[in-house]
Amino acid sequence: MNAPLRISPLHDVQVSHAARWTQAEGMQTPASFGADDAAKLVLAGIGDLSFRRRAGVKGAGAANWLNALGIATPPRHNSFLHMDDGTLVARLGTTEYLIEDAPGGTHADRISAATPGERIYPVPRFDAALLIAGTRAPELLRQTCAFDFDRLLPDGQALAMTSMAGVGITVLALDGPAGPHFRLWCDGTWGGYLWATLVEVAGDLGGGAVGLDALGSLAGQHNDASPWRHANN
Amino acid sequence: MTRIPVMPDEWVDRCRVVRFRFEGHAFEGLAGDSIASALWAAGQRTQGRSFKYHRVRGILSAANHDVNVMLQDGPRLNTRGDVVALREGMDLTAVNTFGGLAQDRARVLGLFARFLPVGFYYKAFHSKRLFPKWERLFRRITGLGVLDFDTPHIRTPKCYDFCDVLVIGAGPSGLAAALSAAGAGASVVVVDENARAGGSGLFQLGGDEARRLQTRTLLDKVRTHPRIRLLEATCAAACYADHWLPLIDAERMTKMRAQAVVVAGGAFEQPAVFRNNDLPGVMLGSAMQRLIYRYAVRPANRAVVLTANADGYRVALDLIAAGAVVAAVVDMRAVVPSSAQLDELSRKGVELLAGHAVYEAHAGLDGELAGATLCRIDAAGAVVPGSLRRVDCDGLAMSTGWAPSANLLYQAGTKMRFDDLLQQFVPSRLPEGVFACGRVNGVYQLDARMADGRRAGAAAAAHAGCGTAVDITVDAESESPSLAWPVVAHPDGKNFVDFDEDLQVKDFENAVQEGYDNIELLKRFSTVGMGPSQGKHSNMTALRILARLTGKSPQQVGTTTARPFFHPVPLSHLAGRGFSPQRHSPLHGRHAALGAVFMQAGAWERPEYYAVAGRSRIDCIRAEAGRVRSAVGLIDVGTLGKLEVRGPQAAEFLNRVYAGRYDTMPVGATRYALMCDESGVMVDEGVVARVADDVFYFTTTTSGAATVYRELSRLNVEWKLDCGLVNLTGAYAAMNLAGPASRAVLAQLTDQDLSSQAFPYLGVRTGTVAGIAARLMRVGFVGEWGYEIHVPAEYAPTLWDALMTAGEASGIAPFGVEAQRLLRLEKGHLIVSQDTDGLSNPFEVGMDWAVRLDKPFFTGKRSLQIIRKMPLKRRLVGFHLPENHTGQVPLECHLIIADGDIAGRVTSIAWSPNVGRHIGLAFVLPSMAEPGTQISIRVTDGAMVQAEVCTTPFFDPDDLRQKESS
Repeated sequence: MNAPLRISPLHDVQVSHAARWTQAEGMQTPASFGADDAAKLVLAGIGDLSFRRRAGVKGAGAANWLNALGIATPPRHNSFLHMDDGTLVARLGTTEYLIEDAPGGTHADRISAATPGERIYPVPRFDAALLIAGTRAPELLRQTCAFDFDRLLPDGQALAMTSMAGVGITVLALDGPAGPHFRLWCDGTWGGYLWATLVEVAGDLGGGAVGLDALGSLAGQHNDASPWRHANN
Repeated sequence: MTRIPVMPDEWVDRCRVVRFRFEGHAFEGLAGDSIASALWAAGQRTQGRSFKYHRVRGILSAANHDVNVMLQDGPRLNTRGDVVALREGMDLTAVNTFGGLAQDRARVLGLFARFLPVGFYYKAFHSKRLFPKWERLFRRITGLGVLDFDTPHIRTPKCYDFCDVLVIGAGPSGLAAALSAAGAGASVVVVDENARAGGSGLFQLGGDEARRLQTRTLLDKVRTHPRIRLLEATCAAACYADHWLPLIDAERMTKMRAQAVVVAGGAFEQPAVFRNNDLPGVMLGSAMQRLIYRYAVRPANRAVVLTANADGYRVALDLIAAGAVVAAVVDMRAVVPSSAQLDELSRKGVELLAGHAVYEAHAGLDGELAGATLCRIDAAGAVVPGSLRRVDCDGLAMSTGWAPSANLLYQAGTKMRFDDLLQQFVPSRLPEGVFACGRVNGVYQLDARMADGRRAGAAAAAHAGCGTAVDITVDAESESPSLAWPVVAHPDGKNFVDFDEDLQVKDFENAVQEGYDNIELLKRFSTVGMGPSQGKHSNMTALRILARLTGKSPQQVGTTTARPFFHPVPLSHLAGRGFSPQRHSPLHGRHAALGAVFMQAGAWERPEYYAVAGRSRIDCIRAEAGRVRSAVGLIDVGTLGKLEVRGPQAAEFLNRVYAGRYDTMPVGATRYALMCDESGVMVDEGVVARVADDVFYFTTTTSGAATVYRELSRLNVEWKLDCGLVNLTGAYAAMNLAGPASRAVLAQLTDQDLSSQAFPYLGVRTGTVAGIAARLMRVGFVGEWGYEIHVPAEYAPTLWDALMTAGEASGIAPFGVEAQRLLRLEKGHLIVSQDTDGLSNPFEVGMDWAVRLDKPFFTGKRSLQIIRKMPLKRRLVGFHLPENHTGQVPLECHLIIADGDIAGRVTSIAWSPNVGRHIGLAFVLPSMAEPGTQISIRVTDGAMVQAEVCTTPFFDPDDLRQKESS
């Protein structure tokens, strides 16, 4: 039997807008929303990175357990790091971790398959994972979130758990050649609402939904070779 | 009244003519004009009518307080003409008129003024018999503007913003504060409600160019400073906790969060009180200066200046600079301090009258100012008999005092004290992180205001963690900027204190005489300060009058509460772009494609039923339920709360949380879970599944999921048990495959042994379904053989599709919440929060079996032990209507009546196709709980419907359909 198809939590709100689809990490994901994706990305682009595999774990023994699995952990709470292979490791609070594989990565699967020991509590993560980029991204964030995102930028390794448009999110800022962009995660069941809200506000700012093709390296941070498998529908 | 030569900082663009209409007549103004300035420049001095007596009114402040010049601009009502910028094509009418501004029929009300005393509204409504009459009358003649109910919903964006230091007011002190704070390294935002920054520094000049240049220099530095953002035409409308301030501009509300706030909002100039002080042409001195320097309009050709401070002398000089003749400067002080301005006016031959006042103003045939009678006053402010003298003038400037713009300071929690020297309330204790400077802080001299700004700015920056506070000496005032008694008595009244509400001096005297001698009572009885300007020009004078009438000091009288907003905020700004978070199951798209009609369930949208063309809602629901009973149905139950607790003390944790017992539960079993609060009230329910010795997976109600997880997390921290709690509600999807054919459908997709021996009722198994890792539970909420299948959310649509395909041959179809409610009712299963309420305990709903009082502890145990010993007050029972019932059917919450009293209520009711009659659950008195008891239910129109208490389940009482033999 083939591996079952993963469906993005944002699929329902994207299905009537996407122009072309692709499969990334076994998940059906919009490759394009239209010819103006790149232009929207310059101003206020919203991308769906839910396809990236992730896992979570929390508990007093979580850090040591992850380290034993070869996964580095951030020394400070509410911060993140990128491993050399592009894996993102975020420390949420004191003893909870979110691990997101770079495309092609296997850490998430290894964590899910491993047997946790004492005071280690697996947290399955099937989040809606979004990317916000563009010169007007800060304005988009200010219209939807009461958090001061400038406080994330100077350090470059801090993350925040806050509320955006009424939805609880985890968010961090990353530097890139085109300026800072933002990664955020929320419970997938809120994802459709949050996506639609952000796309609507972004539309007022000249931006909107952006497919994987236009996102390019932004979708595979630390891995510019676009390793996900493209299979246009 | 004409345009004067170019002013250095004028706001108008002389190259752009703006055409508009006012009261049906065509006018022209200049881009940058306010509506009022354009009208004034065109000679239109009468611009509105007063609220109560419909007296003609003109410009008073030109500072967003002229509520008698409010205009209807298409769908925009109550446009404030004194500040709103002129736009091409405006078609304006004055509000609050009957038949237009010039021929307002309601002006006749002025003739009946003596029959409209203070407190008239209250007295009118005192008679119950006449109440409706007065209500109709008041509704007809009051209200400002005409509301257009077809006005489109303007979805203005809302915005959050942040800074280290927020400076409110961009006058000299505010600008100095901003530069000082930014110089210390703080990020600074300066807001000013005016279209352009600079404040009084650019219009209160007294003909002294140096004053303007000082402010201009500050302003240029602010505009170019990299750490300062200057927001013009933006009003700080309120001050909330933690330094949250809504900033209102033309487009949006910005919620600003500042580390520190500097209030440099200045002061409101206060009208003097004398007869006819409301005639068009009588205005505040600062209003005249605004007309001159902002709009390049000469306010009057021949003016009298009434003053009691240095500002009035500057007004006189500014009028002369604008080409006006100043007939006299009338100073209410007996002794006038020497000053350069005084000398300059003397040199210019202006008549200077100390110890004088304006006794009354006179209207010409057009109702506008044509002259004034001056008088001498004694030390107590009384008119000296025989001293009256008339002067012709078309302008009368009032510069007798100020009141601090302290509204935001009050809202922030500032303690204020009345300074006798200044005759003004000033901050005595500022809240942490809030600072004040300039006139609001009792500092009036220009150099001192800037010094005060530098002090406040540095202190605010230091509070925000930038630099250190500096000790800057601020010179004390050499003379009082405000007169203690700017009131001139007149036997014929019309000496207005509150222009919003047409309140005269005698109204206050009468109110106090009637016993309203407290400032809060006086406010409510007289309505002083309750008009659109919220007392910015009346509260201080009202306070002075009350103090004199009661023999108290202003400090003793105190002030009323300053509430948000500082200025009216458009409802479109408040509504803005609404965020209504909506939660969707991973299967939402599948439901929509199947024609689901959604209903709200907490934050979720769930399928109420699936619409079928040509079928009614109820037929669809019954068909869905029938299919579950006859074949197989599939329902999305992913909205249930889904939690996992793991660790050596996980069972102990559940034992404490729920009323049942879980440490004795074998791995692979599930058990009903009932949660109570400390008082023994049922608050949630679910199913606990033991998937490993130290791992329990359990569900909560849909609406209770977030609350339960939050409370359990709190308890886990408090109890310090060796276990961890994980919320899987969003991470996992769940669907219930139910019906006689469910096993056959599932068997096609899994290798799991589905025999009742290997997978018995109330068992839990881990396996794969359609290649997807799943947890399966054999539960029977709807009373059929069935499986609740839980899978990672991202695979839910794939699994749904697989089940629907596998079930095609069996006639599978989805069913919604309403069909599920009917099915569970047939089984007599209650729903917590529908069949229970905020007082229900397990014993009165027949759930004694779910409570294990032999456990050492669980939440609510102590209360339940006590309740157990007491007689029940009610019982939840099943009931049915007669099989042949026709007529009205009771609804949920209809009352059960016995002997004329309420004896209970219906909690659930539905027509059951399988039972063949209406069935329901109801709370009744314990004495009525016996099966066979007849009960009377009062329906909506008061009629009584008879029903009979019966046993439950109504359907399949022996649960045969969930057993192998079925």
